[in-house]
Amino acid sequence: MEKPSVWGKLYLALILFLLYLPILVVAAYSFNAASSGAQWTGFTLSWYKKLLEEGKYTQPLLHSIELGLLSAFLAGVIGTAAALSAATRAFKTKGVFESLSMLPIMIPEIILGISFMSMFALVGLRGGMLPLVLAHTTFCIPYVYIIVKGRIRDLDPSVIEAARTLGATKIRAFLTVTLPIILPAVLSGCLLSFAMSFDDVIISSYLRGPTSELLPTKIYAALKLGVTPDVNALFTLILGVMLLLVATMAVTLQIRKILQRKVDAQ
Amino acid sequence: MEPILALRGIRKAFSGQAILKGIDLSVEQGGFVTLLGPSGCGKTTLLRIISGLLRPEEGKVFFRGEDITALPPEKRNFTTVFQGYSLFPHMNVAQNVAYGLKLRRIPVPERRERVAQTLRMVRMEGMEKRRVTQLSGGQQQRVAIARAVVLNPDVLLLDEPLGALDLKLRREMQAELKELASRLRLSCVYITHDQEEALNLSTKIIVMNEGKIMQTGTPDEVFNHPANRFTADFIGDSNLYEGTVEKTRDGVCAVTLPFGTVFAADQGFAAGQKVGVCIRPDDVELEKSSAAGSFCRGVVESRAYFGSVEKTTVRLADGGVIHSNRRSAGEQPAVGDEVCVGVSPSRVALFREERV
Repeated sequence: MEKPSVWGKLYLALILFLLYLPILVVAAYSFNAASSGAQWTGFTLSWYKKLLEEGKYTQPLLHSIELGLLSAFLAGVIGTAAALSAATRAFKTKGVFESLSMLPIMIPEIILGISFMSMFALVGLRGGMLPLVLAHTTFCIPYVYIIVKGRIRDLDPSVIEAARTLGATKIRAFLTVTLPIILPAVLSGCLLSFAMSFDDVIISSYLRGPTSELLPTKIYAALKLGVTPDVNALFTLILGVMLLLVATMAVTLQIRKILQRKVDAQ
Repeated sequence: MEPILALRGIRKAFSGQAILKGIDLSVEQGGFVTLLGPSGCGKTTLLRIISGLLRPEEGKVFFRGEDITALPPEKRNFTTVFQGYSLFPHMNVAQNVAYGLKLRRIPVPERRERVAQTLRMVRMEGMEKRRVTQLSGGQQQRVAIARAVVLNPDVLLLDEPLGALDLKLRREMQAELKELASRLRLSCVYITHDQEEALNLSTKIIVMNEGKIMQTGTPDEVFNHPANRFTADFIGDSNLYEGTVEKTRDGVCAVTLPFGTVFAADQGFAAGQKVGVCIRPDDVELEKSSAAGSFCRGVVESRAYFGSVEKTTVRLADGGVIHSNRRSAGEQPAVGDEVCVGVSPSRVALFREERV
């Protein structure tokens, strides 16, 4: 492989710097003793203590996680079903079906939010968890659809037929062959959906109602009063959990790869 | 004996286009039946109907005399070896082979034993834990065969299983497959467009073209006694002519061709009848001087060297040509030489010439 030039390295460093510096700053300031401003006045853990003791973000966080998991699961099921039927069946309105499946990505969120609010009001649905889940599922479906569909293209239909001739019913063939093959794509679609749902402010603010305060909307409201260091601490905690999850996944995959390579080499 | 598998009047069309136009065939217990035909002749569609993956529009499929036309594939104990192997990419070798056994709820110790035994049979022992995506084409093929054979299928269906392999490996696998099928007494339906493969493996060959069966017979029958122009042309190299039966006497039939009169064994054609004449290049003898059995003269037009055979093209008096793969007894004729063309009457095949 060709060695990157000095300019290439510099370019890379700049990008990484710009991407991650703000995050590092937030993490650093969560340990800052000063209650406001950019002045560094000493190391402290008091903001974490305050965060946990006050617990004003606990409920919104749990709501957000619940909403994210539910929406990601529903979007995973519906998006996968849509991708499967688009890839394996031939029907006249397929073009329309595919465009419609992708449309929610293209519509500005603010329009989606207002549309959802008016429609739910029309059917008498007040703000709360149910409309939130419905709306988030809707805008998450395209992400699952697009990722799973890419993977299905590599799925040889005769593999499923092979399962049938070996004695599998349609359902059994789906569960033992189709699903395991596309599962990585389904999971990454769900993961992306969770992330999209978890940080959505715009659509959620139209639909949340008085009882279902969510983390992003809560933080957004708090920001009007200026960033307080306990919000920094919260960000840092969330970031830490994310990093831990990603690292665990990467390590597990790597170990599996090494083990399999040993078997292949025998 | 009742055939293990029988098809009666199978018809199938895709978006209005007829693919199968009334197929009747039967497979005897332990028989190796090959569907032979050019691509697009409907042989894969026919195999899918047998496996249950497709329903025919008309006609019935019988298994040991029982109508199974409406039975889904998982309820038939017919397994298929697919053209592209179609192994499960997310499973290793042993898991692929064990798949059908697991579905049949065979207990683990027996399952393990049968998988190991079958992998030994296809010479893949010790590869149990390998990922199938890491295997070579020949190895994948062996796994695909093992996966289908381990279930002791009533009928084993093979859809051009050797098509993706190179020539040398194909020959090897052909021999292994033949040995395996006869050792396990498998009843097989095999698809190929390779006539050599068909002649080598089969107990019965079904020649197909455009959704119809052109001829059914043993390899010897379809090769030496083609029933029509298509079969004569498709199987083996051939010199094909149209002629008229002149007279038949003492079991020998004289047929007038545009360039001479050839003698053939009596095959039940009456004097005056138009017939097709098939002479294999392997049987055409070229001599410098007229010998017994020569029926016309011509001029050597070209010679092509293929290692074990040398193909000679002779231009005949009427402007047509005849090809020969035989070496002459004495000196080989050179391009431009005049030669006498001969053939033994027992090697001349006649067939009814269908007129459009």
